[in-house]
Amino acid sequence: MNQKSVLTALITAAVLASQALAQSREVNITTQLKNYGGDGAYLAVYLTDAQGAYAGTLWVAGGKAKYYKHLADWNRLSAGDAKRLAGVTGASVGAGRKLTVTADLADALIDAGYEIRVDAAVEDMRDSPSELRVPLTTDNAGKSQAGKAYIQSLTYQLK
Amino acid sequence: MKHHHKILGSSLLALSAALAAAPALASDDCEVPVARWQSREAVRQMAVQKGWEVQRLKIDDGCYEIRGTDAEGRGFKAKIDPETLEVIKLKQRDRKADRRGDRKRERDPMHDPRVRGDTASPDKPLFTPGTTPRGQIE
Repeated sequence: MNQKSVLTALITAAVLASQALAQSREVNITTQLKNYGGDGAYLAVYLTDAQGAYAGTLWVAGGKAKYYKHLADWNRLSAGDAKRLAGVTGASVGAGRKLTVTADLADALIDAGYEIRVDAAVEDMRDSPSELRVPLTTDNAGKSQAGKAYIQSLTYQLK
Repeated sequence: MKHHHKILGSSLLALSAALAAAPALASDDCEVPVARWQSREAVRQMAVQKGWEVQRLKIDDGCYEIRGTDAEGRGFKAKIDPETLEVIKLKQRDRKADRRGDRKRERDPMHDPRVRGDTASPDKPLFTPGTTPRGQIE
């Protein structure tokens, strides 16, 4: 192999590597709950595509699977995804507390009609499926959105 | 006649010995003192790490027993050692039940999420391969 072809190969490798890095973006979703005066909230943070079809689960807060039916929209939309809970579950979120979810999302999802949705449910209180829906766009990043019942504000940052 | 009694006696003896030995061989009970048991929460965490969705966690024959679905969505029943949390026995959901489910889906196409069309599993990767989202409560 001569020097020129080695150089070409190196440049190609560098370009491919930079493309691979550019294909994902870190998204930081911060959800602040209201002081609603009840038990810890079960939350499902998930994505839907431009047609409103389920795209994937980012986080499910709350450990007992028997209560997941109360996160009704997420439970219905994600029923066909056998891996919806793989590595993305944690404890329920207490009233007034903040949940931060960090994910490395594919770049193609941003400004492509995708939405971040959150379903919420609290024991002995009203279920709130699709408590909040925010389009996943660069314009919306950093802007605070309020939920219907339990979420005081949701803000996401794109890095 | 006496000879017959002897044969009968020895065969009865052999039979009772075999019966007594059988449960000991087939046993998969756990015999761990209560003081060394791990908590239910530890069992649930172990299940989460394995990607299981726990539908029921109970104690049976001195072991923990989990009924649920595994990471691939298959139903199962597992016996767990209460001290080491090792899986002693794992039984996948029986095929008869699966067939009954299939027939039910055939009768009612709306029962099948794939037909309903709104529950499609993502084809393209959502996250960078090898990464999973992280959640933190403050």
